Amino acid sequence: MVRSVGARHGLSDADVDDVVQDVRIRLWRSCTTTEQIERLGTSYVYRAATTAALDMLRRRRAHGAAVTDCVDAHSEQLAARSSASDATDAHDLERQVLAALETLPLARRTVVRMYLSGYEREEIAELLGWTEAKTRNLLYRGLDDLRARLTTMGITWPPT
Amino acid sequence: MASHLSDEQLREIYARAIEARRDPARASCPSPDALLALVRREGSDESRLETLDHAMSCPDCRGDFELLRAIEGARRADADAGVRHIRWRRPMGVALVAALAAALALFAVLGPWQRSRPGEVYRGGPAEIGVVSPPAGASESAPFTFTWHRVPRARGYVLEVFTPGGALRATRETADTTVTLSDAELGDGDYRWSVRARLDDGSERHSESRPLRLR
Repeated sequence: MVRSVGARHGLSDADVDDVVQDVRIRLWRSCTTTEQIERLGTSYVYRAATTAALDMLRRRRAHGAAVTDCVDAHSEQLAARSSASDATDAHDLERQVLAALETLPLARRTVVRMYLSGYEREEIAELLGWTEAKTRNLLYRGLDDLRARLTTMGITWPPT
Repeated sequence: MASHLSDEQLREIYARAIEARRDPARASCPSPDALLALVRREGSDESRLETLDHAMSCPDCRGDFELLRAIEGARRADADAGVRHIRWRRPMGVALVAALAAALALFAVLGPWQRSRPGEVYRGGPAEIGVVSPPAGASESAPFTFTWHRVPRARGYVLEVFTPGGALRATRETADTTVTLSDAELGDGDYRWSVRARLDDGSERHSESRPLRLR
């Protein structure tokens, strides 16, 4: 389950493997036989997984090694799409989109960021504990606001 | 005539923009504990929104967030399965049911991590097939990963993807509870998908049929 959800969201296999390995070690330290592990409560296993993940994240931050394989691959794909002559214009556009986003109210901005990051409305609603209607309303208003601000900034498509 | 940027164009621009803003020092990043509070829906709306707003604008925090979210999602799915199980088996006695639910959850956590052993049959889980992903009506792009809960005494599973007209478009047999299909196996379009579990006594269990849009 953890692996499939992680894969769906582009999580690095290395990240998941680190956590899995740590959980296995914690379980085998607590119990010496398979039978003992099977008798452990589910809450213990999930606590172990969560603690292992938090420890891994803290270690990674402490060592400043936060770049994951999947993000690197994504960056290379994105970079390959842009020709050198377009780079300046593209950077300007990116800055303007981020600047326009910053002007949105927090709730709309967060929902729009999630949507632009590839999350579906249902996932956003579930994560924030909102109704689907509230989420949809904030998303559409947020996207409208974003486009209105970009238009005000003179950004249309195709570029004029 | 000029028009607005499409959602897809905005997504591409946004992905490039946040990647360009990656901060190796991570000085302004929320702590892992704040990310955990976010996925557990703990704390005020305001603080969770602020943490989430940052996570969605920081590639490193987004990865951390997804890792914790995956674990929390598994815990919740497992807890839901345990609740359904208890309702069905109450006459058998609470102690037995609690033990079964605990074993089920243990395998739900450890099972996917031991999938390198071919032919292994996973036991534990409700006597139905709870499909996990893609969610109903989801719009997905390749590769397409289908996931469902284990079924007790299942010897294997059959994933089936149908066209709106009912024609079988793709099928895959597996002993696992997840299958990934490539773009070559499923073209763009609307489909419905479902899973059949083949039990060791020869009977079958069926999942619901979920709509899916591939693009």
